[in-house]
Amino acid sequence: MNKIIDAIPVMAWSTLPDGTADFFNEHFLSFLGMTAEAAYGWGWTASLHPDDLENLTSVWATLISSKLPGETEARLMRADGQYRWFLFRANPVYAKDGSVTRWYGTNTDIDDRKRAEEALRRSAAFLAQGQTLTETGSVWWKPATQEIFWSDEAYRVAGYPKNQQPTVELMLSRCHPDDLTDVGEMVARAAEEGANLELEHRLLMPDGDVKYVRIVLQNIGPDRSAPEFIGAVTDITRRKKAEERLRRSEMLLAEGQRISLTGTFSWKVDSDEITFSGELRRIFGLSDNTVVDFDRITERVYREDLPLLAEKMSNVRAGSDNPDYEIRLKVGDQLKHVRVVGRIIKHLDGTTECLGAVQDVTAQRVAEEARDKLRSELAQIARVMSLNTMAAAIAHEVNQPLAGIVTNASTSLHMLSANPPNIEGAIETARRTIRDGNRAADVITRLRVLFKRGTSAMEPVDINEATLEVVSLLTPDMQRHKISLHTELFETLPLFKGDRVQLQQVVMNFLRNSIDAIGEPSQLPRDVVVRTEFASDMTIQLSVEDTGCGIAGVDPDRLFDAFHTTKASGMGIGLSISRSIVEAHGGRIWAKANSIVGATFGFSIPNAKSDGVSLASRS
Amino acid sequence: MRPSRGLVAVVDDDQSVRESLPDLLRVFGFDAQAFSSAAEFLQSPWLGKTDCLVLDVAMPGMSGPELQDELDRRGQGIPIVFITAHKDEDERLPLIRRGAIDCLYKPFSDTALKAALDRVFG
Repeated sequence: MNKIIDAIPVMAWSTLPDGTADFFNEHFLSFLGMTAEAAYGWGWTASLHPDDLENLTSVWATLISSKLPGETEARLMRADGQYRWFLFRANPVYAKDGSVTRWYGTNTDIDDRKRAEEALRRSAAFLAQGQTLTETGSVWWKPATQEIFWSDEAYRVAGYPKNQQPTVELMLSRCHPDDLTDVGEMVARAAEEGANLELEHRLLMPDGDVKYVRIVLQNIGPDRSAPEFIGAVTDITRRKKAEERLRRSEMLLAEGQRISLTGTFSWKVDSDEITFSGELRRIFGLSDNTVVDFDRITERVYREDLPLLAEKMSNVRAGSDNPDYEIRLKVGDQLKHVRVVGRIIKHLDGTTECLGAVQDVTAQRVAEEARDKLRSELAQIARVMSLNTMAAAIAHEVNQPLAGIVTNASTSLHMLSANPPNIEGAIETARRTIRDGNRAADVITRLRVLFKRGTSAMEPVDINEATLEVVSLLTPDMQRHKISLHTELFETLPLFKGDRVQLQQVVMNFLRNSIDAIGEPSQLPRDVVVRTEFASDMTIQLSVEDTGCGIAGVDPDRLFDAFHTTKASGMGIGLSISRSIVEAHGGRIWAKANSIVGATFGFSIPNAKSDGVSLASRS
Repeated sequence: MRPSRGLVAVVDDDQSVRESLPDLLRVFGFDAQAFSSAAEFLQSPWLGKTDCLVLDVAMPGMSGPELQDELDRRGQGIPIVFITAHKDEDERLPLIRRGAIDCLYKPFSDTALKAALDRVFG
């Protein structure tokens, strides 16, 4: 009997009523790699998987106390150290009084089944997780029997509880009303004809949300007339929304590029592959299907700017700084100014790409050119205007001695033609004629100094001397307006390189503004002080302080703007031109309100290089 | 010596005029006296004896027209021939309208001055 038991390919064993093992067949012992003595009693449990010990012990205890047959699963370690799953079955043998005399049992190797189950469970878990991650549910549908299976994820996508039996109607009731007709037709046709189904449509959820789903059903039935579909339903809302956002941002980008006249490009430096955005094609006058290459580009670059482009491109190839430059394009008969800003990117694969933006700044440049032209025209007007002022002043200066000359000459003539001729008187008047002539010549010489350097010429300027010349020219005007003009000139001011005539125009502009600011003779006080100083910051300063109407209520930022005037008959360009002149000297023009009355205008010019010392204030 | 045709006072801050004009006036047969400012003239004993003023418009201190106002205010109105180096009709015309004999632009000719004085002294 034992031989039979040892021979059968099953592990067999028996225990005493209390569960203590008293027999293992050969098969069992050889699996365990134990001697019968070692395995007897509870020795065999040394081969139990530690994780299974508790469960098995508890089941075994339950069986023993219940005296009923039973089974459990546990892992046993094979002689080679590998665990395998076994189904432990135990059957009691009863005595007449119903007590258990022995337990007999078998262990069946279920390891392969266990592993298959494990693998199945794992793959089911993978599938479920995959379905969750991809928001894809599985669907099985047999129209003939109205049987439908939905996976968990399919329920989730459709928004139904898992205990609800799915039907075609249930499915269609979620369909967005606008899509319902189409979807209904396709589903009906699939059911009738067994045709595979692939569609995207919207779901209208009970909370008003709209979902997009993609449904793919494939007929796997034995024949087309008895369709049996398996398939998938995927929630593609995110994708649809992302697509929508992408479409929208692409549209916005294109619109942004169109509005800002900015195009973008990519230049793969190693392969010279160039991509232009739609707007950049428009800027370059390239149609959408033209292949962009360097020939297309260079033939549109203004010839004079080709060397610049070549230089910038070779810099990029050399891997140096990011390009940022402006070139001109010749597109058709249109000259365009474009500003290019690029960024060099070193990719992980070692290739270099230059990404950048190109902005059409033609309108801006044209406006700037027009502005510069206007400014120079205005400067010309201002110059002519102050020349008119000067011309009047010159006439005044020259007319004074001329009056003497003419009167003396007439007197002399009358004296000589008298009877008897007054020779002595004639000689005296003639002498005075000569003296006044010299005086007139002096005036003219002095004035010529103002004009002989008519064009901009940088030369050592003695600001005191230049100021005194302007002061002497405007003194008659000041007198006529009852204004007392004082000068407080700093002695030994350093000379500086500058345009004397232009600076004199600034001083003249200040003084004329003071006259206008002081206004009607009834207004008092009427004082103007022209001051020169050598400031602590080593700048040479000139200021004109007046007791006029002041600059309260005038925006100080706009004071020096062209066409900004507070005068009834001014053009508002004097101070603007003055600022240009002072700034061209590296200086700063300023204005401030006086503490009591009037305003002070002035400028300071850095004493970059001393060219001597002013002596004018001493004379 | 012929009797004087009258006393002509010259008020001008310009030295050339003060030196040359009295000589010409004397050639024309007037007594002449020059003053460098309105104040000097107003303080001089010649004020009450002057028959005609040759008066510069723009001067430091009191200007020509202001001297005219001052004289009118004192009730000592004297015929005035203005002279000015500033050629500006906008300044000249109001002076004529206010009763000046004439306003001559410097440099003026002897005949223009004589013509103006003749209108005073007949």
